[in-house]
Amino acid sequence: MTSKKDRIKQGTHRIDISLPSDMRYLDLINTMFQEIAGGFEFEKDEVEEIAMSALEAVTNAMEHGNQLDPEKNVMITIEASPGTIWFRVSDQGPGFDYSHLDNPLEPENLLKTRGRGVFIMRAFMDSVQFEFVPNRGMAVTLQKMKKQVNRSAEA
Amino acid sequence: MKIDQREKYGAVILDLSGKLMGGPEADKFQDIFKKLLEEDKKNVLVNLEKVSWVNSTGLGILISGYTAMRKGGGNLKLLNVSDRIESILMVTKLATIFEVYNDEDEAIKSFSAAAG
Repeated sequence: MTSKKDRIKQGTHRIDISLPSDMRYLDLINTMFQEIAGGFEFEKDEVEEIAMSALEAVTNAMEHGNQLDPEKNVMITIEASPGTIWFRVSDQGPGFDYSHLDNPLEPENLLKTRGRGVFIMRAFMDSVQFEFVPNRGMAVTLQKMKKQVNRSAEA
Repeated sequence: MKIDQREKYGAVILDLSGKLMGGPEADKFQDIFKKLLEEDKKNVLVNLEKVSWVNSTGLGILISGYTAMRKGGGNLKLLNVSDRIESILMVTKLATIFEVYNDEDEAIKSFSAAAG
């Protein structure tokens, strides 16, 4: 079995992938992000938070951005270094108003079946930024630093 | 997502395996919940032991089932929730909605306790 020390990669790795808008690929996304985050010093709970956030971003891109059109792709770029992960998920859709999203924690929203994806990303990641690029689509950029590295940066 | 159904002491247990991610699966679940209510089976325990992950649309399926069962006079509860699923329930405050159990018999008993 490969030891944790062997698995922890040095330097920054960049990964670019493009997927058709088919939710059958979500398991691949989950596994990929678990492997990447796990290999770059994140603890188990952080690994799961990163994987969950990636799932939400990709689900949104496929379902809302690209309307599950298999002719439209979701592009994912990941940059990871020990204790840090940055990734961008882009779709080929018309964009949406991310500044006026309902708060799923409000009592009147708690039992709604939709509307939690962005909230989950913001809860689990250090930063979530949206950008609409005309003639291209919507992009969401997420970033997280390992807890102790974050605390050192704040000091 | 594979769904196996069994009954125990008047409650229906749905044993799920795989990923709970919404999409086409939502229809499958809606059909199950509708059929159960038609058969007056309104207490449902969803066993998540073999569910590797849930996304927010998957949560929506559980909420939809919960709402349907509550409307029918029953309840929907969760069994064997992993740490990962627990964290998503906590952060979305759905942990205040769903009763979660680690023991199947205790979960089943709780339906009777609520009715009594």
